[in-house]
Amino acid sequence: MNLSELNILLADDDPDDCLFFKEAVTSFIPATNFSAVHDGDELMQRLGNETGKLPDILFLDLNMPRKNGFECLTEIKRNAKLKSLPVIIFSTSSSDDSMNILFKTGADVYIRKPSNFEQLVQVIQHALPMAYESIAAKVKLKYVLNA
Amino acid sequence: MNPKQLNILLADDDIDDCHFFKEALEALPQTTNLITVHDGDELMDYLTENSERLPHVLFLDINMPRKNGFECLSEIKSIEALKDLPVVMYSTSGSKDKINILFNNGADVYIRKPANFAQLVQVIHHALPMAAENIFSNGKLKYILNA
Repeated sequence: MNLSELNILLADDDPDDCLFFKEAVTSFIPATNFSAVHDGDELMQRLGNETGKLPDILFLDLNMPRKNGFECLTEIKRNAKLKSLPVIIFSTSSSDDSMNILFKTGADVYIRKPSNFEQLVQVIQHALPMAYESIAAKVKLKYVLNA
Repeated sequence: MNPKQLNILLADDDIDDCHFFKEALEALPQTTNLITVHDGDELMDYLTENSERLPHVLFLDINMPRKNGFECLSEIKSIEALKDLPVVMYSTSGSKDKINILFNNGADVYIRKPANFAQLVQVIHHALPMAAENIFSNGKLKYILNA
């Protein structure tokens, strides 16, 4: 995984969170190719676009309009073309039940959004290699960051 | 955490698990030096005697004879000379309640012992930098590996 060439997609309807996330990522990968979509429909259209290149990794918020993160994850993991896209759930909440469902559905890492910038940088840095190895692994490990 | 040789202390009464852990360390890219103790009393004696040259990180099993992992963690975090020692809890089980208590008591990372060797290498590899950064950060992050 070459971090500097990483193509990161964030699906999150909160513009402040998107900005915060972009700043965190660019603080340690200055030249990253980062883009954001703001609801589940927009995400699935972006991923389904035949001509567009898939991102290397997806950070997926759960509470989004039009199609939520659960629905998007399920669609992604059922789609042969998309299912090997590493997905990091990125949410403010974390109930045990929803986390278990997400891991069963194929999420690679679960991040509870941290409230400060330094912590956000840390969890993103840890999550990237985890998501990559998770996709390649035969038996998945479940990683919860900021439980 | 980049010392040339990482000194790791493992407290675990299961001899097979100790062997397994040692082999996993040998598969890591960094050089490590492992010391093992097999019950809570032995752990606290070791730490007290070596408070001037503590290990870089402690992996602490929960179910141990004489003094369990909960008791050891609480003692470590209440002793001035020991409280900055990064502690990775390392257990086969873990209810959400127990894990919360451990984080509240100052644990840095919680690992559920994985069943296979490749996974063990992965979780240890991820846990080492997490444990180290947590000690120095403002407001701890809670990491659960293999939730």
